[in-house]
Amino acid sequence: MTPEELQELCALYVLGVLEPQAAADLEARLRAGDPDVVRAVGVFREVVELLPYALTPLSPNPAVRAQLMARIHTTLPEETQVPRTATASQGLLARFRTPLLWLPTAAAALLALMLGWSVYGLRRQVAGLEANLQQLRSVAGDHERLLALLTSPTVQIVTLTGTEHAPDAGARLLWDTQRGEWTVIAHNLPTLPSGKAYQLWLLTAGAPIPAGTFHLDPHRRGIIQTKLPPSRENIAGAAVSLEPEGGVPLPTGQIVLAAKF
Amino acid sequence: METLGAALIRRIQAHDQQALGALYDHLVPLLNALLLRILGDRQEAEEILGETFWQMWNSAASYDPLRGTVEGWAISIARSRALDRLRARRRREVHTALYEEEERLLPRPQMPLPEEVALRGERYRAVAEALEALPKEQRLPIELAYYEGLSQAEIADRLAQPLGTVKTRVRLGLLRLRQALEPYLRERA
Repeated sequence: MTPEELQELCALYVLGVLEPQAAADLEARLRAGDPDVVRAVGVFREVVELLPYALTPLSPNPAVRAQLMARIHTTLPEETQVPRTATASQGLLARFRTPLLWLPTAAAALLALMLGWSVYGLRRQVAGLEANLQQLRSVAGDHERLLALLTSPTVQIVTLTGTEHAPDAGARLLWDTQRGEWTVIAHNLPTLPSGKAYQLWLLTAGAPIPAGTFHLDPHRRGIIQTKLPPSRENIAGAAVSLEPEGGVPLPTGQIVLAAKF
Repeated sequence: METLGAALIRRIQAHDQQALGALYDHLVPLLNALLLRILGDRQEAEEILGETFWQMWNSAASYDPLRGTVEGWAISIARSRALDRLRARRRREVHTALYEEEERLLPRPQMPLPEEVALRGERYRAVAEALEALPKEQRLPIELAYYEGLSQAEIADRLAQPLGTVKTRVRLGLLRLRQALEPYLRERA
């Protein structure tokens, strides 16, 4: 095997797409400390780990963090209480043989239990406050970002108006001509039926380009941001339609918002 | 000097819940972007995100610093789970291809926080530019492998190229990226 062929195997292995048998063979050489394999895998692993940094970082819904922390929290008392319970039990058994000491021990145990419960309640409160803080930071971040977009000299603003299916609805489309990014902020759209989403379309002389789906917040507002391939410059308009969850390749549902450029 | 990820994982190994919260805050914009890129669905991405950190919490003791950075470990768990989900979706034949010939139009359901924008910094720009600067024939097979988990045979089929050509292009593309990103590799080390 030439050094180039070994590098090819290692590159595919690090990307996780090497055929299973070849991957197993390579792993065996890796475990055995084959210096050529160790070096080549290291070379590619470092660069592959950087690939996601090419993406625009995005915050998820703050509820994800809150749910995770709550889930983890439920594991903590059990883990921390097991050794304590064992120790306390042994101590209590010994003290039952000395009746005069039984009452103060029980009082101390009750006090410890109350304190533990109080700490548990405080922890829950802190988790709740953390979730609220994340939510507020998210809202503040959205506002700052929108303000930056609205005041940018490279951003063009287009108004989308509601069709007969959503006469009260409207939207602003912010087109960052320099970065090729499209942001649509919709308001007053009808509440989504279950299993449905709103889908943004960029209109061309040919087939419309699907540009992602979005949902509404409790105030019936929706935001979506899309990056347009640089080769697509002949956009003649934009529209939003009601589609199945996950989106469709071509519009099938009611058009609720539209604009021509 | 110990990285933030390494310091936090030591605390997580000692069941420090706050450390997990801090690691989550540190990594979540990157992982969420990766999961959205792979899955194209916000709800699924967030589900996998929670599972990724849950797995990290439960298997923190098995983390081996000799096998890579904490960031790399987290990325690997998240990507692996997302690709499993993607493959299951393909098997059910309900996967809808939403990408154009070379670029997927990603829904961007939420704006990045200001600190995330700052976080992108030079490294984010450098990686994006380096990837963008690759010749298309090298960039595409790397993206198909990394973001879609296609096998080398599937990539060759998708791009209508011989298998050998695909392998060579992946190797050359990654080496070129490595050369362009050399300063950032040293920064991580």
